[in-house]
Amino acid sequence: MRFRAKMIDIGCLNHFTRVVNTISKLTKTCTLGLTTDKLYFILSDKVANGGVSMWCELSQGTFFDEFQLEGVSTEHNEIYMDLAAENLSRALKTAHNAKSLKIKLTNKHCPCITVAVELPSLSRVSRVVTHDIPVGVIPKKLWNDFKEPSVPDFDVSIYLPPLKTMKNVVERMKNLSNFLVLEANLNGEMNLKIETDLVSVTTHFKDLGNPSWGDNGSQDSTQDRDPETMMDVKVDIRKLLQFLAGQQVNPSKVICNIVNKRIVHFILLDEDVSLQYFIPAHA
Amino acid sequence: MKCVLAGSNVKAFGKAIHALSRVGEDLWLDPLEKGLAVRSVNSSRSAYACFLFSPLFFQHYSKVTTQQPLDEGDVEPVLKCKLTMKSVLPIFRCLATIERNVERCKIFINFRDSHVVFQFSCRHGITKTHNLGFQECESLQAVFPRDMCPNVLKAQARLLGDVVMHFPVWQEEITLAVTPVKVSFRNYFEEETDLTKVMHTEISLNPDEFDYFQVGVDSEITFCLKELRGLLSFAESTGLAVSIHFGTSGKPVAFSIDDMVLEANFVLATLIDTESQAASPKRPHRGTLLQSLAVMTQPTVPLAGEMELAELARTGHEGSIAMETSIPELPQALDREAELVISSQGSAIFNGKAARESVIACHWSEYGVGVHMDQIQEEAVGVVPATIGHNKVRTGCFYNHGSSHGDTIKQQDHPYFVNQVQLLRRGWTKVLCWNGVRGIQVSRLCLKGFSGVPCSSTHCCWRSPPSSVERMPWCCPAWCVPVTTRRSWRKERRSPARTLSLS
Repeated sequence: MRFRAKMIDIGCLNHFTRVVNTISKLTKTCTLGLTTDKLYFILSDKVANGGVSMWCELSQGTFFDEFQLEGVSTEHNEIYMDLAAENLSRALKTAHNAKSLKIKLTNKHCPCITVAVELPSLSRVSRVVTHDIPVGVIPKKLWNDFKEPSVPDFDVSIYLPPLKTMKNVVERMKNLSNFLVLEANLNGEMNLKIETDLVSVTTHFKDLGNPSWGDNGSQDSTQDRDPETMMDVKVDIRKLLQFLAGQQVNPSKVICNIVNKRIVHFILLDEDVSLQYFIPAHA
Repeated sequence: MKCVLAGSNVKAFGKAIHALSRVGEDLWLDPLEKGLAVRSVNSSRSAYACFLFSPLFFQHYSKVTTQQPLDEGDVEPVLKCKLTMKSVLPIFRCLATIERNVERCKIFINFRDSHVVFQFSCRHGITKTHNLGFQECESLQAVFPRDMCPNVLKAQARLLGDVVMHFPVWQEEITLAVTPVKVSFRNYFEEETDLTKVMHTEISLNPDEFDYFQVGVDSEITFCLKELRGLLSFAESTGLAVSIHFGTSGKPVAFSIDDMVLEANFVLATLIDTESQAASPKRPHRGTLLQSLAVMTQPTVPLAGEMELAELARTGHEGSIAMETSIPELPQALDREAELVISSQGSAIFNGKAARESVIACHWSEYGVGVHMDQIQEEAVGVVPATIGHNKVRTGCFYNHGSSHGDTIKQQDHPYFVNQVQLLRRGWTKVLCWNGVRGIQVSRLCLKGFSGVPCSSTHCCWRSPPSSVERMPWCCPAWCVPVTTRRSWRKERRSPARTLSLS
């Protein structure tokens, strides 16, 4: 198994850093998947995570100038490994003015992702900073977990309000309650509600807009429904806040799909990056 | 003691206090003739920090501790006081406010009440007075023979700041590894850490990036980064360069800042590398300052080298200026109250033999210039770098870029160490040097190199002798024999260089 990649453009480097920072805010460890044309950051829905799962896809060509991969075998030219996203984020943090960045899979004291950053220096020879991030290579038999999640059969699909505003609201609510009810309808209205013994607080958003999903089977069933009906899901407020607060990539629109009382699904779409995040309802 | 600080110096003083607070829990104030020394040491005695503010730093500085004139026979009381960091730091905590509001700061010691008083004269006629109780204590100083360190690096604070920013804030210790062609810093983990879980970071630099680069012996030292960060942030804010003096692992490392008005020295113990010492226990342990530094309780004795040149000329022509100092035995265990003695500022006292033994890490091999290896070893043992008048020749290092006299010295860029200097008749000087592999001898030296004047030219300070009697020569580009940083030298800099003509 071999992997080598090189990044030269500062803009790409900063963009990549932002994506990695977002991932590191969402989860401590995740799975890094490498294929010939894409990079994946995956978090599967295990009980340990509280059932949340994440799928982030980057198209390799827009970030890397050189990319060479030899996977586990020729027909499965892919590599999956466990990685602490925070380490990668730290390695990239000080690379904002780098001349070049090389990432490769190495085997030092254990399998590592080595990030070698070439920094400008006062002399003719550049400074080189090397970070060895230990990873755990995942054997092929466990690869079943790493399939792109299908869009759930949602009841309502709506665009979120500006993430910053939503984050401020949820942050204040976090002090009052552990669970938040997120509800929305097909009329572009969304409410965030918390309720405790002493107090209940609701924030209303309107004119948000609903994305149209085109020829989607689930669309038909929702059209029959009254657009005013609110579909809701009760989620752990900290998970929601983690998602909102960690965003560094600022996409223009974020889609929120709600399956009534089951799960909420967020999709962020950027030109080269797509991030999906699932929060299950609290039992 | 009474002193007055004005303007931006108050902020600089505050920054120094911040840097010291990262090291220890207590602050020692020591008013000296040459300025106010503010020191701290950590609880395990593995880090020592000292800021020396010269009288020029203050608007007014007076060391006198009592108001009344001393009676005949009275000894002026030697005052050293110790304050807790907890009481001093809050006074200087918010430097931005100090910069904005404080016009002057007066510091004086009130004996009667055992208080140190910090009085701030602020804007709008406001005066803030802080009375801090102090404890009288023994002096705290570390002996560290900086001049005997084989490795010296000097870099702008910015460079060092750029290096340490790659390490996380919680990183305790880092390892500095030097060879003549590379400098690298990497993070260090205790043996118990699970290496498969932690991220290793290493940054390599080219020697060109340093203002001064001298590596006499390849070494890797591991020291505490946390304690050092205080000094680095002080240096960055004042824009001064930082010098690093060190030797092999186990010996302390000194980080210093030298300026016209202040000097700072941070001496940190380094971990002892167990691989090189068969007898030591498995776990690497930190050599404490008490073990690594010479600790003495007697006052310093002047060296023979402080004699006038004329006297030297009389006493020794072919002979060496070997100065034998009697080195007291290092005590094995010291309790906390023990006095650490004098001067981290270019102390003249050190254990030459031990220092030299530790500096020569390599094996002597065949050598052949005209002086026998054994002879050199014999002569060199116990010899301190020669003191010529008031000027000291620090062990310098220079590169041989080729010999004009044939084959024994190859054309390689090996750094050579000044091992011994002998004043000979008629202005000749014999310098014995070694690079760990072979020794060579240079016969005549450019006066500049030894007069204490730093040579700023990029060409040699070492001239080849006119005759081919002795071998020689070579160019020492950019690395002249460095000079001592003692204050006395600074005065002499303005006077014409002392010559070595002894006739």
